[in-house]
Amino acid sequence: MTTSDLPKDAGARLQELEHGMFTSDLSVNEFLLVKRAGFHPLGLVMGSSIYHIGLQKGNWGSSQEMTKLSEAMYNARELAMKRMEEEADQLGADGVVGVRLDVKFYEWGNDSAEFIAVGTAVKAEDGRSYRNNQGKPFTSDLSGQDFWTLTQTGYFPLALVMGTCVYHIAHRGIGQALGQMGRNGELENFTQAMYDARELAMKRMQDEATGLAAAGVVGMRLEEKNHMWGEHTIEFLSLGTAVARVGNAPVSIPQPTTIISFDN
Amino acid sequence: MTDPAGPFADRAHREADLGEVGRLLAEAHGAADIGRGCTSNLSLDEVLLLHAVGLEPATVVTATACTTIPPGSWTWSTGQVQAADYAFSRAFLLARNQMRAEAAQIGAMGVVAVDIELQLSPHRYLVVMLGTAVRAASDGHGGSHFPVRYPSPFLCDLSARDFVVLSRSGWYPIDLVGGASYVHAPRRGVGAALGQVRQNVELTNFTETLYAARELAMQRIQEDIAEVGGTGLLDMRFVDETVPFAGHVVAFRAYGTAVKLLADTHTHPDLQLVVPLDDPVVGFEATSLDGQR
Amino acid sequence: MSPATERPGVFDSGLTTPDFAACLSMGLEPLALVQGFFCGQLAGWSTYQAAVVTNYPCGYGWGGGGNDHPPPGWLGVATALDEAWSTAFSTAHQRLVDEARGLGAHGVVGARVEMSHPTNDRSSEVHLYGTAVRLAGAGAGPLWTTRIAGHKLAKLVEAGYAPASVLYSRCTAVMYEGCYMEHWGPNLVGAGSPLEPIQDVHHLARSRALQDAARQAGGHSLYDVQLAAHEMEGRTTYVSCQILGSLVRRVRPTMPIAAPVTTVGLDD
Repeated sequence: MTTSDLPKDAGARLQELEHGMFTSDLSVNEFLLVKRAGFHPLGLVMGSSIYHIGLQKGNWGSSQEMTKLSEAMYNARELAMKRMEEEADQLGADGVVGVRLDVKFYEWGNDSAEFIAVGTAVKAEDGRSYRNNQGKPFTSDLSGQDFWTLTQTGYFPLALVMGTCVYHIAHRGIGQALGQMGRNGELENFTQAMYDARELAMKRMQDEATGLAAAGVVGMRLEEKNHMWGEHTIEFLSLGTAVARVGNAPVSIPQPTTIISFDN
Repeated sequence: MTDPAGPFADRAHREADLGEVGRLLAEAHGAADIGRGCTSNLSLDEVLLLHAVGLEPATVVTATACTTIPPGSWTWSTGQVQAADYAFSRAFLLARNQMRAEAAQIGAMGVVAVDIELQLSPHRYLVVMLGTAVRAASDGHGGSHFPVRYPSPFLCDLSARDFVVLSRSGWYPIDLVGGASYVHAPRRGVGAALGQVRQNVELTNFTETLYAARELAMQRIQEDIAEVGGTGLLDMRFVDETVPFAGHVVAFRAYGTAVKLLADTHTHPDLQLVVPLDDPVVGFEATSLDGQR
Repeated sequence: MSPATERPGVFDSGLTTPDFAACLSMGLEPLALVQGFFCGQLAGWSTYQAAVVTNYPCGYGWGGGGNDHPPPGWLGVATALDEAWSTAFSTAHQRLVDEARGLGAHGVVGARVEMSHPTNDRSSEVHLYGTAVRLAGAGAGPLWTTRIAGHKLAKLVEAGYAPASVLYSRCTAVMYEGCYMEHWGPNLVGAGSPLEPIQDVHHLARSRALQDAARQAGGHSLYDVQLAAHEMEGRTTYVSCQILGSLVRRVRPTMPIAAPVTTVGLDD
């Protein structure tokens, strides 16, 4: 793939979007709030990568990270994200809101999976640049509502940050567990393995945020997926939006009104 | 001891206790109908919202289009499944035109809350649309104040609520738009293509094939937006899926409502931050403790 | 059947607490939970027999069928099947109304409708239940039923409507492909050509069900229409379309509601 790394077919579509038309999967409410925050949607941008995930023989007797799988899961998502950012860049966007990351396994795809990143590229209406401190369009998985609310707090998104860890949890644990049947107790090696794996995923995400000089991460969440490796191998994926404070001026956040809605 | 006159005895015998609504309801009981009838898939809340912008529902309109896909179209090959792409765009277009004709015939301004049903089977593509035709509100206070006059009826799959909120900001729906792309996965198996099963590596030809197909679906919907004169597309439904009867085919379908800023400028709504005090529904299943989930 | 009877001093209701509160504030006293049932039998395959609406011409231009030629196709409606379900619904609804009237109620709020095949495809059950209410200060008039309750009912009344009844209609359209589809099928016409008989059977089911609903509405307004269509495909294609809606009457001129306030919730 050439300088831009984007498959050639993306070009024609993006050119059309430059002439003022936009496409977006934002809801009407999200659209109005993104506008309220001072941004106009430019178009749906996406990135995709079909990635073959190498097999890794592990020592099934001990709990350990499957480093090769972790790398594959990270690199493939990174490629998809990068291509989405490049599409946004081609549109002259300041950022991408409502980013969704998805993994798809196809019937014909053996040990491969498609990694997809989709979001709506936006541009500031005041003509100023809102790109992040890396000079790239900011990315965020916040909804339009959350994006507007965040801008009210004096913070602004830098980038969607993530960390992943594919972890194998020892088979031997099961034997021990069975041996202990009949009494309640903690499966300590399970607990420890889950702890380690989650810590690794979260730490990697935090490292990304630190690398961006972020003030913090909002909307952080941890996803656990088995994908296609059976129940002992789990991917722990940590995701969130790294944010930074804009300026030093004090911000007064409007006092919210409390309501009880009558909707069912 | 229970009160023999009933728990609401006090209230029942004092009409003064009736609220404004209760008094209206009591008057309405047995009163004659003064309106003209209409049928609509909108909720009453949505009907009231439409009234707030000067519109009223007229009736439900529906359109059905079904187009052919010749036998053999799904045999594993390369590139697009062109018969399926074409069957989708024809059926979508036919249904859309039929909907507009139905709406025009009853003098409606447009159709809101269109429910779109897409059904693919090996030999045909079925598109069914159903929505509520709306017209300028005629009864009540001084006629219509809906600010836009459409040359031909608009169509939109936004809910009446979204339609009202959007129009108050100056944006209006123009038409339903859609694009689809059905593509064959590259023929060679992944393992065969590589011979190196232990490696992490991107399958660039696969990436390019799917990328191209997805871009094509988006390209088609953009052409459709330009065709109907829209400048944007909101609340787009973008569906990636495998075809149940042809596992080697990946489908991309995008559809939604093309919109346009018809007012001079975008009007920001006045926003109020609220904290709902409703409790989320919290469930707890004891079976989850047994690991039997 | 053991209809609800008046038990002075006690009430029961299927209302949620907010709906209960809203009903009391409108002057609606809940009396009792009332029900109406109907269990029926769908009499064999004759129920699925169709009255022909359209005969399709032979695609090959032949006058009639033959040993090696399928008979011509047609489009029809399974009137007996639809009538069986409609009768089941109207009978169950009438029983609900009678039970409520026996309690001296003016209306039934929060009505729910459940329809099922309790034993097999040949049996039908319709179950309606709701809360009978008495309206302080109201005179005599037809008993009304509605699927809504509480603040939604209040909004309806404020906007100048009065509830009338729950309404059900259905249409089962039937299409026999015959030689028409064989001739005009995808083998011969290529991609993207309209398949008229399929379009016809889907359109007929929906439009007839809607027409029947409008006929039953008789000039009143029908909102909240829920429409469900189901297709069974074979050599003969059946499309059943069922409609459930809320019939209301306009009793005062429209009073447009105030422009809504837009809010941003801080919940998830």
